[in-house]
Amino acid sequence: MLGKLFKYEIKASARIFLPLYASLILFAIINNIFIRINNSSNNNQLFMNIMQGISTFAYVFLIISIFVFTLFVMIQRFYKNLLGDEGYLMFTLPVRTGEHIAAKLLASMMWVITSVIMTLFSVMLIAYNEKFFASFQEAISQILTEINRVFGVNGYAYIVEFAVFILMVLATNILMIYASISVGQMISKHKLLGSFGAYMGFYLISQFIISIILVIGYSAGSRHWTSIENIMQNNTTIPHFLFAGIMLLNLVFAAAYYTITNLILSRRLNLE
Amino acid sequence: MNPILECRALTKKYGNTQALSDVNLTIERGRIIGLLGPNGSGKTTLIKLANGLLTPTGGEILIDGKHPGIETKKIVSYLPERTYLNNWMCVREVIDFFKDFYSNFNPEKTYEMLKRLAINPDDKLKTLSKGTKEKVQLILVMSREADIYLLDEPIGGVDPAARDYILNTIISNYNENAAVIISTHLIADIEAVLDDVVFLANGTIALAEPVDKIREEQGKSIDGLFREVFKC
Amino acid sequence: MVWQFKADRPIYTQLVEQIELRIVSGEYSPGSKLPSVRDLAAEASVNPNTMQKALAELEQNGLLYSQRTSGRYVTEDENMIRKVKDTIALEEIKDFLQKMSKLGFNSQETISLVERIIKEMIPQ
Repeated sequence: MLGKLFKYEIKASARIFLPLYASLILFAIINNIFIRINNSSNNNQLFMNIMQGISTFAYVFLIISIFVFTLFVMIQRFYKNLLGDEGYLMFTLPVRTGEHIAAKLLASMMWVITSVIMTLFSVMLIAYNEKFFASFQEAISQILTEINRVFGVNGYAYIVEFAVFILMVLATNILMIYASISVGQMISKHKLLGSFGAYMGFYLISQFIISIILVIGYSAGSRHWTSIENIMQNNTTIPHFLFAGIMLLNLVFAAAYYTITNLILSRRLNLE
Repeated sequence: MNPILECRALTKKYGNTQALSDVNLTIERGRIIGLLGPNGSGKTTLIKLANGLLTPTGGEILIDGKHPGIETKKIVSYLPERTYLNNWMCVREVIDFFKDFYSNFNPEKTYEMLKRLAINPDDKLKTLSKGTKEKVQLILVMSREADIYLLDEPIGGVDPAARDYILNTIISNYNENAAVIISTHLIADIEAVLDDVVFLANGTIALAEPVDKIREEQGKSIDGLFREVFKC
Repeated sequence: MVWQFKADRPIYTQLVEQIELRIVSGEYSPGSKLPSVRDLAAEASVNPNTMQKALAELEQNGLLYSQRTSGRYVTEDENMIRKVKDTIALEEIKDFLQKMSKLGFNSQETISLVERIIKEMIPQ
């Protein structure tokens, strides 16, 4: 059932994203063309410059739009599909509440990641020239060599950990938004206000908890902190412990937000 | 065999409002029941509780002996008062959606009924009129081979011809293994289709009797009795 | 014949009456097969259980009989149909006579009126 829910979630949101991505690619290509034209000819300098300016502006605008849209669609899909009229259909499907949350979470994450990939891809499109692949390969190998030099074998581990960390933080934040919306929908007359309030509340509480942990952590281990760089270069275990700790904390927060959302939607669903 | 729906001392409170108080009700399979009552009497609350959209504050509600959950949602087919379909799909995609999630959904029936009403399955939902969307929703709900159908105001905003079609669909769909609960204000139109009626008033059951019994003993129609009982 | 129901009498008794009418008038001819309970109920826009009850009663009093697998049939017993027809007619006549008496007509006057109306209704 989760797979099916995910499938429909993607279908519903793809209608918005695919055209955006297509436009992004289009403008990237246009910009690439303009750059080439500008580099090669000297005629109509002003006109081409203006055109390029407009095109660049459109391109940047599109990138910003894509990220704004990703956030907006994430919220809107959750609210409209689960808490609006469509909720009467969704919540009477023979599906666990948790599966609804998971499907939306996974879809949202997918779109964020796709948006990032699309943006990077569009940047590469703009920069594309005949020597592109060669210089790209060179750049990547330079970066990897540098990482290797500074961090040793750990470097690759750090890259993986960093990626997992980003995903985890993404999931936690999305769940925090969902939890806030769920809290808000319980308050009949002030759903929007309630959601904002809940979000503020969650943010403050989570920051508070993190601060406490940091303070405790720092004072407990102050003997060990020489310099982060030193540790990361020389010590092979502490950074990974740190990482595990941060991941665990995030996991706890994510689980909390998920549970809150699940409980509210199962027991305190307030469809109008 | 379990009654298909059972309420035991069912209570639901929203904040300070008591929507349902100590409701005891048993509904057997093979019956068509009218759930009647003025606005705010608790009809929609009762239906939402049966659907698992609300949880009881006290007492319990059982569908085929089970508490509302995934197993009961499989055998309950619900038609809410409002349109719960999105507007970006076309009719065919909605049919596929229902087919995906409900194993007892019968698409052939759906297509047949759509054809009879001259509704094109490739039309986008957002291009359909409100009345047509309501008919599509009803057709989808009745195409499920469910054990209990909960219809909330199925003939509310529809013209008389459509009303006839809807009642006809409900009758033709009848099977002695399932129960149909119709919540409505338009009593006179559906009386003849009902086996039993339940009057809800202020969250409690005022009356639960077979239709013909009322007509025989009281010499009046359900509509007439309703007006008496709920005189303003 | 159109199915018509009064709101203040039980539906199933009205169903029994109306099916009887269809039988005695020949609309459901002797020996003919009746539509299924569900189809009849849909046609009359009534609850199938109620229709079933009505049909069961008609089976009881012999106007209908059922064959297990093939459905319900109108009896072929023309005498029985005639009897029911007469009973219904008698009820109508009694009703009519009572009404006429209430209006103040005696039996002779009523008969004359009836003869006159019948003559007027027959095309010349």
